[in-house]
Amino acid sequence: MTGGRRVTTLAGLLLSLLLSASVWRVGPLPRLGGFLDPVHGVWTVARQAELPDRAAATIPGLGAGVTVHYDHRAVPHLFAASELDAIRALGYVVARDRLLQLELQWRAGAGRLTELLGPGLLDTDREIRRLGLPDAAESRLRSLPPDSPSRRLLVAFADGVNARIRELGPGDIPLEYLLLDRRPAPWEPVNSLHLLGRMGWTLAYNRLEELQQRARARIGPAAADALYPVHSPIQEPLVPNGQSAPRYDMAPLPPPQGGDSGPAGPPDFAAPPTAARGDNPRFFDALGSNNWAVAPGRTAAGHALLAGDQHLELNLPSIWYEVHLVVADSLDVYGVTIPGAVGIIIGFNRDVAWTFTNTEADVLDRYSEVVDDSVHPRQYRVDGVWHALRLEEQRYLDPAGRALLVDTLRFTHRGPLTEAGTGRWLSTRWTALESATQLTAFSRAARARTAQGWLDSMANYQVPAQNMLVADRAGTIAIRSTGRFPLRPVVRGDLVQRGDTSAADWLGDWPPGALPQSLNPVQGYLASANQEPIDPRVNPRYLGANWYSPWRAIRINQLLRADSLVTPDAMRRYQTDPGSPAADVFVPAFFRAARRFPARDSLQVAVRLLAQWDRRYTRDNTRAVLYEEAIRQMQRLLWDELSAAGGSQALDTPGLAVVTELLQDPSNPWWDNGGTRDVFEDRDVILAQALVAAYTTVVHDHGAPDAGGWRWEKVRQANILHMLHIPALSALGIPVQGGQSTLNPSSGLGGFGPSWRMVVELGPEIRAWGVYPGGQSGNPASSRYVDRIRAWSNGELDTLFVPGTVAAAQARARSELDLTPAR
Amino acid sequence: MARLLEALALAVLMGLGTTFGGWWAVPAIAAAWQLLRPACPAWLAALGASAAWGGLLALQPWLPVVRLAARLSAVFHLPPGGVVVVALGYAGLLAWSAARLVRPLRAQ
Repeated sequence: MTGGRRVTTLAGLLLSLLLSASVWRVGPLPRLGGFLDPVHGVWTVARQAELPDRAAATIPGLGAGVTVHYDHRAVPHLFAASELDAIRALGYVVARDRLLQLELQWRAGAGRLTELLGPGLLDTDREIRRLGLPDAAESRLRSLPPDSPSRRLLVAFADGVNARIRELGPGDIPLEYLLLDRRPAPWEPVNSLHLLGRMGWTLAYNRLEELQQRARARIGPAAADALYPVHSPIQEPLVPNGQSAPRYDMAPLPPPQGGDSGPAGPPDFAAPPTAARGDNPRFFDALGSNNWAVAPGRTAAGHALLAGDQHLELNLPSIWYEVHLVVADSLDVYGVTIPGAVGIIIGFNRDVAWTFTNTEADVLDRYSEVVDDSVHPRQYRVDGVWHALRLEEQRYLDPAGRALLVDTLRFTHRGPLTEAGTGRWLSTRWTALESATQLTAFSRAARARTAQGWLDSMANYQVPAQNMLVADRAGTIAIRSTGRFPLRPVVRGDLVQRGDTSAADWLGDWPPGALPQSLNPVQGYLASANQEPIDPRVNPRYLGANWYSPWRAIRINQLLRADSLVTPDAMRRYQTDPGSPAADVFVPAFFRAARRFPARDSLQVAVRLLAQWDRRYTRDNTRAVLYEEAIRQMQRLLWDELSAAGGSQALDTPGLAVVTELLQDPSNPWWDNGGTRDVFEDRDVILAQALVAAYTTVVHDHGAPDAGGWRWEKVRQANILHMLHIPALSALGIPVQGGQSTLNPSSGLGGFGPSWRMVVELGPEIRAWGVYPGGQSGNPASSRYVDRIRAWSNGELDTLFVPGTVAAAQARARSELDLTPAR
Repeated sequence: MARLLEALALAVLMGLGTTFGGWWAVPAIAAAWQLLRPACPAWLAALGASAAWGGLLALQPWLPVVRLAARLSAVFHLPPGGVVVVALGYAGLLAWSAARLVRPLRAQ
């Protein structure tokens, strides 16, 4: 073969390769021809990145034109002639900025992620479908008459989203769709209900019953009851109980059954190897929220103040989207919505502001059912009578529409039935599966003129239960744990119940008047942080169990009790306060333990370093890391009875509030290490061992104490992952101030944290500030993709622009959008 | 100079072809040009194609393009800006291989 011919052959091969890679996908790569094309390919994403000066679109069903003015923070201010038009426009603008997020969220709630992302998500989809969430959303939609206000809202939102999807040309497809080589699916009205179901799963679903069952089998019922108590051992409830400090209801903890009882002997201070870290948000107290409101009598300006921040999984784009909806003479509401929701969730109007924390109530029960066949049951027995299970076939599809799996769902009258291993079948009753839609509650509340009116509008809200905090311009502040809370025939609802008797079924719901609530308390402020809502001495009725330790609630109360002239800026500072009441309890305990073993050099070095800590999680702090690791090591050593083989945590780790009880009882058998049969380790031994192990681990991981590696900002960072978990589209390694149990909590891997911080002053004119970790645009090429993260990381808030008129909005608009009815 | 002008002409043609047709215009124009002008070296088609795509990229809003290029390069584990190099190289290779492949046809 001549040289020329060889080159020609080479060229032929190369062209074949290039054309193949242009026409077909190779592995995870998109089709290169269309993708790299500078006019029609991925670069079109850059053209869509910034809002144009002017744009126009049509939406079917629109009654009249809607004008949208985007301000300097890319927040759309929608001026519509009716609420339904405003919701149509909301659907359009959300789809314009967050189309992929819309689709991912409804698919997550519908258990249909595999159809977009492939078989890797099959287990995720199966879990959601087996819980019955998609089924509940579909039946909820069917229950809505065509002309009901809720259905009209759902349809209006769908009109807006679909108008945007329909107008998408090849150059308007969001980046992620191009990478996946997919196209956005049309939006169905039920999708908003799938989103609500998904929120219910995030905020009101737990596996407490399963964990409790396993714990009881391992450590005995008495010990399990004490480790996972119905009432928090530290009481700082959200309904003020007249106390001026938290109350510690300390009680001796019964020992675990089968614990070792060796004689006291010399402790072993050999440091264990570094253990793996996880991102358990509950352990780090990072999946929760804060809110508080201050009455005019305790504020510097004499106006009520309200603050809130919801701690959720941090994602890009952010879970929240900021928007202002205006309908002349009837609606003027500003705040954040979740893309897919048909209105504003948290925010304010001209008279009232509101925000939520999760109630953490127990709204889910499991029942052990008697079935006719342990492998393929078709019937279950209640009160001696066999009942047919409702069976539903489920098909899971891949992106090409091929079936990945065909599954059968089973339902009892209580809810979905799932196998719990070895032929045991559990049915689940969960308020999220049977509650009515509450869409109109938000719509009515957005129009409220007083705090009481707002609470009245939300009276029928059910799921997920929220501690709803509200304040108005007249100076009223109020809070109510709002939701559907079941009344049970048993004392504890967190244990698996017998399914073969109807006597185990729920008796009804808490009456609205009995819900934990407070209006204008004497103390002049209200605060909630997922703690047990009401002091059991005031109302001992079962609402839930194993509550979050109330450290954040304690800290808010400390700050607000000490400040009788609160300003909006103080509210802002409190949101990222670095103080830790838990450290105030545990650091002295480590000191006490170290004093018992003065000859242990490594222990004394560690305790000297700990003594240098100011008990604050500031970014430049170089000692918080030692305390944080010491707490982790203490939990590991203390709860060895709950560990599985290999040291992994098999059961739910009790909260630090329970450990506080144990601190009062130095020789409680729980302190003993079950692995050392001949030695009894008491409290001080375990704390000393934990501190030494922490020191060794921190030096191993971060170097010498003053070499720079111990700075908190290098240890704990927020990692805001893109929704598809693509690191290149994420914001990683964001320094934060705050740690375990602080008001600005951060989890081990930084995937959870405050998702929307807001402060509102309810003066003659409402003033408001807010920030979330992300940006309004879901386009990674946009300047609005991550533009708010720096302020969020620094604990700063943006001043929110809330124009009262179209002209005011227009005067400061950076971009305008005219939406007109489709002909 | 003549070569430069020829490359420029190719770039304009390929730019127009990509704008109104799509990526496939690059190998098509390269092949057609080679058939019409057999004396033209194939690398000139590659140069024209890369220049055409580079020019079209330069017409995009540059800040978003820079941000996008950085993110995309990271997605594909390329050095910063690597995806731009890949795009221009891809156009160049498409054009060169198409031109080089048809060259013997003209000779026959």
